[in-house]
Parts: sequence; structure tokens; C-alpha cells
Amino acid sequence: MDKQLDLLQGTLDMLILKTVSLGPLHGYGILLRIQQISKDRLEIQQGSLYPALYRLEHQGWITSEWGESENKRKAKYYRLTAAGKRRLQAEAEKWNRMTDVIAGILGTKPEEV
Amino acid sequence: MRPWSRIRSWLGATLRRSRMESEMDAELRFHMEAYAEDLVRGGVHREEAMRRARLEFGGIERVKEEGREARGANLIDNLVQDLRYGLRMLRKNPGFTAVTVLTLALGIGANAAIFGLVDSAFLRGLPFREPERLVHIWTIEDDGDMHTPTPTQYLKVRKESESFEQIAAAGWADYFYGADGSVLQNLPGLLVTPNWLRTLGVQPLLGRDFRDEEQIAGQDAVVILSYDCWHIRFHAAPSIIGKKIILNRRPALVIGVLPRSLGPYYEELEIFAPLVLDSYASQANVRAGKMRVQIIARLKTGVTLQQARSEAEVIAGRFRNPGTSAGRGGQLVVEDFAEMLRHPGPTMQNARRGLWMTAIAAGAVLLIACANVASFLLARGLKRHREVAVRAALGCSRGRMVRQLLTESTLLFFCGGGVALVATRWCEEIITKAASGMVPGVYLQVDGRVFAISLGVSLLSALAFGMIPALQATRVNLNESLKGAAPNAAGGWRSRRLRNVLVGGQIALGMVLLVGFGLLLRSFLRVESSPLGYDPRDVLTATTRLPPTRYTAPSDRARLMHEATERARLMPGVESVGIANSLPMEGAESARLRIEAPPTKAAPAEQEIYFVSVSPEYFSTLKVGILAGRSFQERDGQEGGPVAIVNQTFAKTYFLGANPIGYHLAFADSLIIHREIVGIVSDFRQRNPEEDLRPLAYFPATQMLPGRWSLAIRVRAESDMGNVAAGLSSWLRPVDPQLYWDVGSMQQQIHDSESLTLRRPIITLLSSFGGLALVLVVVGVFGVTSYSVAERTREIGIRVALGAARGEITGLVLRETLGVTLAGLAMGTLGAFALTRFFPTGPIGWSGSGIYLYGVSRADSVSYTCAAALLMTVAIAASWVPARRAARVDPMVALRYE
Repeated sequence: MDKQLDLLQGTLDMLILKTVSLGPLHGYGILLRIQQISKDRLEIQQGSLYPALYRLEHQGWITSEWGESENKRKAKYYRLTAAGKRRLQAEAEKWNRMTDVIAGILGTKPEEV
Repeated sequence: MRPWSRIRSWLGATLRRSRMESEMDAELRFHMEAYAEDLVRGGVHREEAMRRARLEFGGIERVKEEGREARGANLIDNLVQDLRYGLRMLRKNPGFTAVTVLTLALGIGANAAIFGLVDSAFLRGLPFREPERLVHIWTIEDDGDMHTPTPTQYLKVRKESESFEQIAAAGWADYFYGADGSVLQNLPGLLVTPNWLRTLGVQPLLGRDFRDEEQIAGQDAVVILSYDCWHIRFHAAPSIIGKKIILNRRPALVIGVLPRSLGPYYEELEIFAPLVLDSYASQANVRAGKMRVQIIARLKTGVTLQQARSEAEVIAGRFRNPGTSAGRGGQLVVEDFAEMLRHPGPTMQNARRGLWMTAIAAGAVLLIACANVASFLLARGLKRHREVAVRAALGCSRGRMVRQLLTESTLLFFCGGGVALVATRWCEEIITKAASGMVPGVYLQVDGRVFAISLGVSLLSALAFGMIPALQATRVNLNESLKGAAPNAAGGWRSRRLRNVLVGGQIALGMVLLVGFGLLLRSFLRVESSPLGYDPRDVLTATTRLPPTRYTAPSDRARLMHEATERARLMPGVESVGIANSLPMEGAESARLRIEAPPTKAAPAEQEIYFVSVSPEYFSTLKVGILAGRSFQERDGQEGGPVAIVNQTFAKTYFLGANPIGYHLAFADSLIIHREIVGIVSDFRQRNPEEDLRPLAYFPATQMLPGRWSLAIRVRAESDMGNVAAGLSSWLRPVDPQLYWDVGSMQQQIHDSESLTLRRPIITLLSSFGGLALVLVVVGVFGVTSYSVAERTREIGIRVALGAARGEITGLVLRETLGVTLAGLAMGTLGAFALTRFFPTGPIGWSGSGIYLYGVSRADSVSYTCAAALLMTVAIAASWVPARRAARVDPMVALRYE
């Protein structure tokens, strides 16, 4: 088995929302945080992060602000909005239900059918 | 909340484009540099780190583009790009563009014009400032009817009421005006208090309003002209302001011109002059005591109609003598000014009928035009399949392509709308003239509202009819198309079926339109040729109106009638001369008459009866037979005993077949004079050619002495009627050089009768729409057949190569058109049958006229057959040229073609 997993369609948005919900972060920070939490098991194309960020911001789930990075450089920080918080909750619930169902199906043994 | 943030983000991206770009740039650069720094910290060489950072980041431009897309920053860019591309495509196919734009212009123009007419007649409301605050004030008198108040009542109300901001009065007046000073024309006018226009809230278009001192006798020689009067009689010259014109033999200074329309109330009026109350009240009038004024008033802000009414009651109470009880009489009624609009009279209702029909017809024309354009776009979509395939292969999304094709078709529709507006602007006068008989005050003027409607119609139809072709065109099979195959098989077939549906649909619509037109046209012709009961041929008419200041003595009036009759009879070519106060087709006055009936027959004692005053020779001049008794004679003059003649219907209705001769009639308001019935005259139509016959009474003109009457002059069959007509005015001049004679003919009277005047505009409008529909069907069938032949060139080539005769190929093409046409006609017949159920079959109101089916049933086979035959001919003719082209296809060329 390969150690890195490709990201499932549509899950990047959810991961970004979750990461940002832990505190304001700039784009590169979000990338690092996802890799750190997932222990490098998720592969994210670096460039693909930004269109997703812009989309989320356009939809009003996150908002951005220019701030100063750890090494004293100007960087754009993203933060979760109230609407984003609700959205994250809804997405997470949906995801959990989905994984339960799928796990249930995959775990089915012949004698249970 | 969220839609707002989206709009804000979009606005930010669009309006502050450069800022968004630089921010995006900075952000991405920060990312790569931060990553590179991390790499350097991990021991990678600086340059190598930067290279890897760039590499792993992926295509920066693509990321940026996706970012812009995500924020909607590209919307406007894309639109501009699409527009530019669309314009280029349209310029590249000038033929296609021209035909499509013209087609659309016809459809949209028809609707813009009809909207303009409807708007001017019905939607615009009263052209006054805050019309909801305007009221009419009436009185109710002892007879229980509403009357216009007297000048005295006006002065009292003005003095005592507090509910009104302004109270104005108006009285009617006739004006005699001669452009060259000699021949006088009769212009209807209104005498108004100086605050009248202020009360309505109308500003003169040119010049100024009346001044308060101009209601004092001696200073009142000023007039304001209506817009129409200014246009027709003074050629719309602005220099008229400050000039003096001669009205009623007195010079009057023109001080202003009114705006185009004063609404339906004051439509016919041409002259507005100050009302001098003292002299108005004492003015000599035939029916004394009838000098009354119309009172209008403007409620103060915050005062309700109800409050004004209670106040009016109090004031009316003070009018009445303290002794008398509050009976039915002596009340003041305050009524909303717009009341009349809410209960439109027969003319308005009729106009509404007519305009509805025309509006539906205009809608049908638009649909036909749109169907045409949609089928052109479908055909063009197929031609462009390769372009579409290439773009799809290069990664263009379908949505993006649909958007682009829609932009292109919307551009076409807007061009059509633009051309339509220009054309409508040009045709303003013609259309106004064509519609003018339908409803008073209807006119067409291309203004902001017409513009907005045209724009809206263009946009809606562009979206509705551009969508299917756009969806159809972007449905591509990449593999097949890029290999260079023609879009035959499924795609081509689907598109052809759609095109046939569109052509069939437009033929069906054309059928409905033509059947409707046919039914109305046949009704019109039936009305025109309905039996009148008199012979209108070779009869001239000359109408005069006596100036109010002259011919006041009855003997003078009688002498004038006698002299004019004798003078006219002496004119070369004249056979006989009669007089009537209202000619056939002019209607008649009515009054309550007491009818003395045979004692055995129960009949109503009093009836509202129409009556006409005529001279002895009138009936013989019209070639109307006396059925019993005698006609009037010279001795039935002022000295002779009062007499009457009744028509056949009168005798039948009130005498139930008994002989009425020798019985008497009397006006209910002067029962002293009994008029003996001396004759029965054969029935003839007095108001409209198609009306039901009504009971009519005739009295000798010399006993009634009307203030306005006409000569009916029968010209000898062998004489030239035109010559007699041309010389008539000057021939009659010696009778009284100051009288104006309005010369016409009996045929003209019929032409101008209410029925035909009401019906003519809709015939004119519908015939032009029918014509437009036919032209559009020709264009549509020709276009679609041509394209279908071009598409099948190869198939036809194979058929010819296999030995098909030329005739068979022509037949092949014609058969397809024939099939589509027949299907369309069948649908159209059903549609017409369903729709004509809503056609009115009876007149509106008491006059018997209006737009309705007369003498034809709605299933009239002639109308259906003619419409179907016309459409069939047109469709076959339009596909003849492409069919012949198909027959000439050279198999060698056709097969090498692909």
C-alpha cells in the first residue's frame, strides 16, 4: 500500500474549514497544518489550495485579513465566519454519517446478509 | 447574509480588479517563498529550493485563473469577450444577420406599436397632477337626475367650502373660426375659470396659463389652443403665441398651447378661453335656464372624499329655502374624477376589445418571428459544429459555450429591437392615424415606456428562443466531429425535427391570425353592404350650424331653411333637396314622448323616442317610401297644425298593427301641443348600418327649427357629382355669405358611421399583421427548406446517381414542406376554432355598434378555407426555389463534396 492518499473530491473544503476553525492561518500554514495533523498521509497539490480558499471566501464561510507572519512578512490570514462554523458542522455530520454507512457496508460478513 | 457577502466579494473582484490581482500575487509569492525557506532550513540549496517550490506549487497562472473564476471576476471579461466574438460572427455573415434582424424587427416593432397604443389609451391614467385628489361636483335636482350645477351654485360652493385647494368651473362654447377670414369652421371649445388648468395640475406646453384678471369682461380676449388644434390649424408653428386669431368675429390673443393629451374627458376640444361668469349666465340660449357649468375641484391634502361629501351636504342645505324639506332635489354630489374611467362607456369598452385582439395578433407575429430566428439559429448551430467541437476539445465548458451562443443571439434580438424602435418611430403618424377611430385620444409616441417594453420583449424572447438552439449546438460528439464527419445521424435529425416543429408552429399561428382576420373582415364587409332602407347614391350633404347670436327669431330660421332649399334646388344638376337635423348614420335626439294609442290596445303612455326633424322632400330625396298617409307639406309650417310621421317599427311597436294615422304624439315636458300622426314611412337605418331597427318619429323641420341641420341634395344620375359638390359651397353663399357649409355625401356618412369607424382600425391593423405573418412564414419556410436541401446534398446526389428522376427529387423536398404545412394547418384550425370562441358576437351598449361577428359564424368555412389556401400557397411557393435547386444537384459534385 502507498503511504499517501489522494484527497477525495469535495473534502478539501471541509479540511480547510476545520483547520481554520482552530485559529487564523495563512495559506501555507493551512497546508502545513493539514499535513501535520494527517501525519503526511494526505497529498495536497499546493496550488489547488488557493482556488478552494477563494471559493470559500467568496461564499462567505471564511474571511481574510492581512497580517504579519512568524518571520515578519506580510501574509494573508484566513479565519472562520459564523456561517462557516455552521457549514463545518453540517459537513462534518454528513461525513460521519457517510463513513458509518460505508464502513457498515464494507464490514458486512457473508453470514450477515 | 451570504448572498450579500458574495455580491460584495464579486464587486470587489470586479471593481478593484488590480488590487485583487496584486493581493493574489503577493499571497502566492509568500507561499512559495515560505516553502522555499523551509526547504533551505532542511538543507537544500537556495536556488534549488526556489525551483522545487515553484514546481511543486503547480501552474501559477492556472491557480490564478481558477481563483478569478471562483470570485466571479471573469464574468464581465467573458461577457465583453463574448460580445466582441458575437459581433464578429454577425459581421461575417451579413446575409444571415440582415434577415434575422429584419425578421425580429417586424415582430418586436408590431408589439412596441401596439403597446404604445394601449399605453396611451388605457394604462397611462389621467394626465393630471395627483389625479386621485380631483373631484367632480354635480347637483341632483327635483327630477332625481344628476346635473351640472349653475354658475350661481359654483360661486356659492367656491365661497363656502373649505375642503378644496382649488375649485374651477367650465362651460361649453362653440367657436367659429375662418383661416382666411371668410369661411367659418365650427370648433368645439371650453370656457374655463382662470384656475382651471391649475386645478387639473396641467402646465401649458407653450406660452402661459390664464391670469385671474382675464375672467373680467373686456379682458377675456385670450385663448389657449389644444395640441391638436395647434397642429392641424396652425401647423404647429411656435410663433402662434402672441398672435391674434379671429374667433366668433372677434380677435383673440393666443397665449398658450396645451400638452398633447388631456385625457378622455376633454379630447375633442380645441379652444380654451376664460369663462366670464356674468355674461355666461345671461347668455341667450335656445333652452333657457340650461346655462350650466361643470365644476371640478382639487381636494386639500389630507382631506378625504368622505369629508368633502359631508361638507357639500351642509352647503347644499344652506342652498335650499329654509322652509322646504330635504327632498330629492337640491343636493350636491362630490364624485371622484376618475369615476368615469372605472366605468368605461361603450366606446372605451369597444376599444378595449379591439386593442386586445390586435395585441394578441401582435403577439402571434412576434412568436412567428421568434420561431423563424430559432430555426435559423438551429441550422447555423449545425454549421458550426466543428468550431464547437474544437472549443470543447480545448477545454471550454458547455456552460461557457452556451453562454457565448446566448450572448450572440441576444445581440441579434437587441439589434432587432433597435431597428424595430427606429421603424416604429418612423411609422408613428401612420399608426396613430390608423388607430384613431378606435378610441378617442389614442396615439403612438415612442417614449421611455415603449423603449423599455421593446427592450424587455427582446431580452425575454432572446432567452426563450435562443436557449434551445444554444443547447442543441453544444451537444457534440467530440470524436465524430473532430474526425470531420458531418453532424448527420442523431444530431442532425434532432435538429431537423426541431426546425420542422418550429415551421409547423409558425404556420399554425399564421392560420389562427388569418382566420381571426378573415372573420372580422367578413363582418366588416357584411356591415358595409347591409341593407340601409334608403338610397345613399348620388346624394350630397351640406351641413350648417347657426351662429348663436343670429337667427334668434323663429321666422328667420324658417326663412333661412326655405331659401337654402330653394337655392340648392336651382343648382344645375340637382334633382331634389331635403332637410334633416340629423342625417342617416348620425343617430337622432331622443325625448320622452306621450303616445296616444287606440283605446283597445294597451300601450305605454310615455316612451323615450328618437326623433328627427325633416322637410317635406326629405323622404323622396332619400327614395324612402311613404307606406300610408302623406309626407310633410309646405303648409305644415309655423302656421299649420303640429304634425308627425312615424316609421314602420314605431307603428308596429306602439300600435300593434293598428293604423296610427290620426292619433297624436306629445313631448312629455310640454303636453299642451299634440302632434297628429299624418303618415307612416318605411324603415331605414338612422344610426348604424347593422343596427336593429328602432321606433322613430319625424317632425316638420319648420316646426322644430333646429340650430343645426343638413341639406340632402340628390344629384341627377347623368350629372357629375364631383362638380356639383365642388361648386356647392359657393352656390349657397348668396343665401347668407357668413354661413359655413360642411359639404359631404351620403356615402361618406356611411363610411364615417360609428360601426365602420370602430371596425376599420382593427381591420387595418390586423391586415398588416396578417401580411407580416405571411412574409415571415415565407422567410421561415424558405430558410428551413434551403438549409435542409443543403444538408441533404449528399443523399440527393446518391439518389440521382442511383437513377432518381429530377421530378422525384423536387417531390421529395416539396413533400416534406407539405407534410409540415398540413400538420401546422391542422393545428392552426383547431387553435383558431378554440380562440374564436372568445370573439364577441354582440354590440356594446345601446348604439348597436362595436367590434363583433356580424353575419358570419365563427366556424365560417370561407375564412378557414381562404386562410388555409393562402398559407399553403405561400409555403409551397417558398419551398419551390430550394426544391428546384435540389433537383439540379450534380451527383458528381455532391459525392465529391465531403
